[in-house]
Amino acid sequence: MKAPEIRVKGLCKSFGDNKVLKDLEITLEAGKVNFIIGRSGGGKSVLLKHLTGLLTPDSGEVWYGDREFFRAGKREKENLRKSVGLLFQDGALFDSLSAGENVIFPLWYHRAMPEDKAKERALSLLKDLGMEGAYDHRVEDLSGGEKKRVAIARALVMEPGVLFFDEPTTGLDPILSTQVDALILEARERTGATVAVVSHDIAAALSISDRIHLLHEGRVLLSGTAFDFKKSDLPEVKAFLTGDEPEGP
Amino acid sequence: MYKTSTEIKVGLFVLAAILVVGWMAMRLGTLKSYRESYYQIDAVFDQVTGLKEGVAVEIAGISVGHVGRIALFQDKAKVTMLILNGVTLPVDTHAYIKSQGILGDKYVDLVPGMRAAETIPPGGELKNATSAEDLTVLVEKLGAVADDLKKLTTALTADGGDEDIRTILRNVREVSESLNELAKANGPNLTSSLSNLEKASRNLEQITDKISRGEGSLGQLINSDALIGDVRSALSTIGDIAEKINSGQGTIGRLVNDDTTINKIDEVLTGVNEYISEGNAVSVALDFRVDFMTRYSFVKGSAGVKIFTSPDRYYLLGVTADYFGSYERKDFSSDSGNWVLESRNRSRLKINAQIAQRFYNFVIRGGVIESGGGVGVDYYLFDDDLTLTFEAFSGDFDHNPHLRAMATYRLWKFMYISAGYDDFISDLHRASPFFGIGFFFTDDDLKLLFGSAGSLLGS
Amino acid sequence: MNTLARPVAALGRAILDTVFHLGRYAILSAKAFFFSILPPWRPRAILKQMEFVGVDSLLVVILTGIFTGGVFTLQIIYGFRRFSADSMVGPTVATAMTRELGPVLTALMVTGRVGSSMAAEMAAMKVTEQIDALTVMAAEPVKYLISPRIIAGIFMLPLLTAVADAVGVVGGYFVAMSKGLDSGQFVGRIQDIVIMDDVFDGLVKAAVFGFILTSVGCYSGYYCKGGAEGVGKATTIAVVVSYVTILVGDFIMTALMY
Repeated sequence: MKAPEIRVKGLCKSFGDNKVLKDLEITLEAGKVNFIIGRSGGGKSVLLKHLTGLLTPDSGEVWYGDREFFRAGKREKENLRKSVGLLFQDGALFDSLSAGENVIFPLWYHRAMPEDKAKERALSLLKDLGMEGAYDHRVEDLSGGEKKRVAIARALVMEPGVLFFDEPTTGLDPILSTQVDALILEARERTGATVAVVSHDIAAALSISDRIHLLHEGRVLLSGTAFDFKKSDLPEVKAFLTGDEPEGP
Repeated sequence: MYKTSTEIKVGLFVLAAILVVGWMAMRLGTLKSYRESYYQIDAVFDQVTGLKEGVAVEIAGISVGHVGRIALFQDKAKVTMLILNGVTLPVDTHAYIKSQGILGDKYVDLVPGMRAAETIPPGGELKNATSAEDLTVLVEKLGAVADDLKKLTTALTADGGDEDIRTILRNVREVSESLNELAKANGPNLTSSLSNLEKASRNLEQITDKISRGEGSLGQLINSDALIGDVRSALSTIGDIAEKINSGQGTIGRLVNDDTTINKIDEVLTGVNEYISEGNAVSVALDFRVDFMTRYSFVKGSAGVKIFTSPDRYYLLGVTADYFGSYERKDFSSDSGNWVLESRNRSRLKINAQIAQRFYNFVIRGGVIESGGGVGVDYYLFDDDLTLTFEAFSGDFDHNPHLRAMATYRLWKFMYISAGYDDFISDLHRASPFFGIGFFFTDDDLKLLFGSAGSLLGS
Repeated sequence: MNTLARPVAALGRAILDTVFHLGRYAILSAKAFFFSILPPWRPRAILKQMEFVGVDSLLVVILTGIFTGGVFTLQIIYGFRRFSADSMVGPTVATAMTRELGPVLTALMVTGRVGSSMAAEMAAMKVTEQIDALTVMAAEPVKYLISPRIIAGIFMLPLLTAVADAVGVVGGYFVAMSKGLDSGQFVGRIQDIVIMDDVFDGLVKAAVFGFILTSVGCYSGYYCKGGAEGVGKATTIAVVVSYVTILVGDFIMTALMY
């Protein structure tokens, strides 16, 4: 499956009495860089967990192209998952494995190819990301930025049609943040995948996104290009753009 | 992704551990016993207190087998021993039960005989089996002996004891010396004494002769004609009666001599025989149960016998011991005009007598339940392991009928557990949950259990 | 009313919590079992855990076994001497080691070493989203993480116990020698009295303990909540619950076996 459009319909989710997602509708455009922004507690990460199947919705649908994720059979769900890469905020690398083994892991687990071929691919990916020497390094010896690169390599190794980034620049210094933004664009170029970035980094959103979705109190307040956002009169959008609201996770 | 050293390490570890288990298995002899084969012999001991199945059988301290099974056999203990093939035992081999040290385990010690050339065959019986002297008995005896010894020594060591002993010894010596002299001096006299003794015995012989011939008073008594006559007449009377019976005189005589009576009895017996042989015979089962009534903390026990005249029909006879008993109702008004119920436990033992018929998984029964008229339904589930029972019968004192719902579950062949709710609409607040345990024996089980007792009764 | 209701509510909550945990534990164990028999199998993942549970625990188990056997011998040798039952020292040590001390102490030691570490590892993976990462990569975390650990526990504990049994008797032997027993006195009656069933019963127990300590460790880590504090808590819970379950389970199994 190459770069599908992702469509979320009527997604509702509550934790106890707290309604986090209220009948949320969103469309992530195929092959584009979609930013999902919003304040903390606006439901961004909950939405991401639904998109990646880590949470089950109270009601609503998540469509990958013409397939609905939560109604899919076991095997179909597995195939959908294999075509999705997710970069966790802190990388979520397996610290029992080396950097290279982390990158190989999906290939090894799904027995996608022989081990020597897999290693070849992992090495070339790491090289592209400027990490060629890190194959045998232990995860705990890597810096934050290096972890992120290895995690991106792991997300890319299955050549996914969809790439999710969870707060990719949070906690990184400005130079690293810029590098990561570049990595996001590069990843999209390499794979042609549908990219969705969950972030509150409005600067990155305005500079590298094709489309921005602003989440506010469990709903999408505004979807549009960076230009649409800049000229928007909505007070919430203005507040977000000028940074009046307290930010941070 | 994993190093081969992991595989090597785990492999080595597993191999080593398996070697350890194998080594223990060899040392502890399980493997050995599979390889070696045994033959069986039986021995019957008076008692085998402390002997356990599986203990060693030894000859001269060397293990040649072990005890297989210990079972009751006509009030004695039949011990089956497994003897290693290749060890032969002469038929006059002795078996003793011995213990290893004073606190040690009992084991069987075999002492092969010398004389017999024949050996005990596999499955044969060892005739000379001796139980060990029970340790406690032995200790008691030893204790008694020790006591006596103590008394003796106290007596002897008491004041002048030494003197006494010396006197005794001196006397003994003197007596033996004088006896000796006497024998030497009176050699001829001794001979005549012996001949006198011979005469005396000859006289005795003559006396018994006389008695048997009716001479003398004793002889007369024994040989009295009158006595003989009495006995004779008594015998002849009996003879007369028998004759009369034979010739059909008197009631008994007629009964005995009437062919039709005989025929009738024959018919009945034949009928019974046929019934028995046809209807899978009559079988009997015993049923004991004790239930703990949780509300009042007492135990209700019942014992009964089920007589199956066919697999589907049985009669139940039994008794139930109930704390509440059968009450006698005695109502009278007190001074204040209120009704007072005075009751007495008339009998705590209640009678059960019911007839039951099974339809598929249901048994409907009725008759006397706990000394009251009533009916009951049993529903059997899971190969009869689980029984759901509902009974209703008249409570003799209660205005409401006595109802009981109960489930029993058979745990083993002989044993079941029960739980339920008794008398739950009682107006005397006798309602109580209960649980209990029961035992159920069919006559086949009983034969097995009391086989030896049965054969004793038979003989 | 409130003062009355509060303790009752607390009791109710405790019971509900217990039932909830038991149910979730049972489901997780069943899942782990189910996935372990379902292909694709991952022998090398199991091997790795076997190395961790079995090989790496060998030293501590040997030490435990030797000293347990030794101290047990030391204790009973005085008592038995009074009855001149010197020849019963060996069988008593061997029976105790094979039936009880070997399986139970091995399980307790391995719980301390392996069960706690599994709980911590699981919990750390949980809080750093590694378990989520597995799910997203379509790698079933129960199958990948928990099944191999439980299998390794079930297979390695009996083997470790066998080693503990053997070295325990050896430890007892040396102590007995140092106390002036003959080697024949110590060894002789062991073969008469201890039967292989004693050993096998102990090994069966050990397998059950292996299941308990790995599954409880994985469970408490897998469902841990909160950050670093949650990891610590999961470890503590894993060890305490495993210890209690092992000892209670040992009692029940012993009652059923003999």
